[in-house]
Amino acid sequence: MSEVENNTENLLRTFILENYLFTDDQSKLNSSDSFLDTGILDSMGILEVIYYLDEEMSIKVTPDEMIPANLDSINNLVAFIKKKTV
Amino acid sequence: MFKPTLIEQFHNICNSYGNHIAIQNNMNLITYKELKSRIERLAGFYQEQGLKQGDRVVLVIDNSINYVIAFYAAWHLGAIVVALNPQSKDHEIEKSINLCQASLLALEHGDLKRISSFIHLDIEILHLSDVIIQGAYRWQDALNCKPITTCSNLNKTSAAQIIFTSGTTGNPKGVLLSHHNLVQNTHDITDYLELTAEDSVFNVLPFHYSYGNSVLHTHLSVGAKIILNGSMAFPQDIVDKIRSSKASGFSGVPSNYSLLLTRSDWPDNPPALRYITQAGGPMSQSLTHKLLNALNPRTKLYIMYGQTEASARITWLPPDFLDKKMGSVGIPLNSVKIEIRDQHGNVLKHNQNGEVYVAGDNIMKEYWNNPQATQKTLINGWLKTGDIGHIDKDGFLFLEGRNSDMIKVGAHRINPLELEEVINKLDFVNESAVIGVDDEILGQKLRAFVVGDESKNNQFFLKKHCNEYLPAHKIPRDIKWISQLPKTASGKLKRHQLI
Repeated sequence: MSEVENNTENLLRTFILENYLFTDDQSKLNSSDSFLDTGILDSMGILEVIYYLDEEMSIKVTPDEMIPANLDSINNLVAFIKKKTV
Repeated sequence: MFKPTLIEQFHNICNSYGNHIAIQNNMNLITYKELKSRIERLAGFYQEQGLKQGDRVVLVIDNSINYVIAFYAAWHLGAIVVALNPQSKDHEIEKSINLCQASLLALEHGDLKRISSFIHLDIEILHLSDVIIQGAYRWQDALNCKPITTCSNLNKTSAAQIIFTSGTTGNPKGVLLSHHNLVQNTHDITDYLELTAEDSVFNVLPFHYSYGNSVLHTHLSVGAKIILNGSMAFPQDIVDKIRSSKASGFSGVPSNYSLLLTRSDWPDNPPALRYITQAGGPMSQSLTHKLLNALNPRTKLYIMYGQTEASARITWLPPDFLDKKMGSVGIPLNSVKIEIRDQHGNVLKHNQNGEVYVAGDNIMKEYWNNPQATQKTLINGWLKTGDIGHIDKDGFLFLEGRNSDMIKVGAHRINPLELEEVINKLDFVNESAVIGVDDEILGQKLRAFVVGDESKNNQFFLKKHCNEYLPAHKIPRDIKWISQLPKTASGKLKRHQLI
């Protein structure tokens, strides 16, 4: 994983841990966990992640990109952001 | 004449449409006949646990086939259903159990930790997981019980359901609805929506709220199909499923429609639905126009207004009047009367703004075990809604706002006092105020104003603390630290000055 991807992952992990799991314990969030299946995020939470991508990373999510394969885990988000920023 | 109760009506429907699909949950399908069989067996289990007419059964189950079985099995025995939000914290569930003195708890999550937290209560516990847990019953074993094939005899005033509405933590209010309330409201709704056994509704609304509860009962009462989808997280997925399932109906709150119109291809290729309904808070005229412009020519849009205390529905706007009466929530249901009154209780004339009062067979019996709250809300049989509006010369109701500080986030109604109570428990907080700020998608979002010791760590601790006491949708993520809250000379919070 490149340094940029590492940074992206760290930012996303911190956002999810602080705002939805309310901890700084990194072991509480597995990067491959589905946010919805594990109950970490609900539909409102997914929307807040989209706002975060827009406001903090200037990444706009189009309707057809709003799918689990792009948004429903840290790994999926990192891969999606990489694809969008290439 | 007293119409059949909804459980009696369900039995009638099973006789006529036994082979129709009642519920579809992803790949799981169940016919009316099989649903009835499981309901009768679970009712047998409930009876073995000593459950009888009028006892309370608490459900903490996500929308699913099992939710419907657990619900209708309780009615089969004449028990009162208390369905709670499965996202509730354990202490909130325990409080509701104690408030309604429930006899049985049916739980979705079978994890040992959660169930253990309820074992000490004097209540039978049924859980939906496969694991064997000492002191609790497994769903699969319960369904092996001897069925009870006849429904309990109920009269017009028999209590059917308690729905807890947002209150302060110390004072949640349980709306007690009778079978007659629900029968009449269900009948009125199926009438104007022209629902039949050929319909199939695509449902994203939680059944534990009044709107979803109404969608469930109306469709089961005519033998229609209910297609379940757990989450609105991926709108395109929803639209694809509406199309592939060939659903004839969809019910949503304004934020659902906002999401579907902005985050899917719905506007380019509107699904061929027969009807869509909107309730759960006012929808802006701009969103209504957008939705109307993005409807398949065969789709009728029904704008509706209601309250939990009115079983669900109070008014509906006939689709033919959408243009002529834009902004109205419509006319009263067949068995409902509405009046606009001033602050002294005098009835106002057409086009004069005042508080909306409602009477009819749909109005709740009372707030459970809370005569003071009942007395303030039910005035000589009329429900004092807290909503402000007027009736035009043609009898159409227009709402202008509410007389309360309730915040509406998506499908959730949130009482800011409850959140403030939780935040104010923190040592580093002197006082706080929570408001709703406008949001394009959700309608409103939570913002907390906090007076206290500001630091990044404290901001984090505040959210963490909220998470211990509140479900996710009630946790304010937008926190603003201020030096003091705006107040009147007498010390009353000027909430409207916060933004």
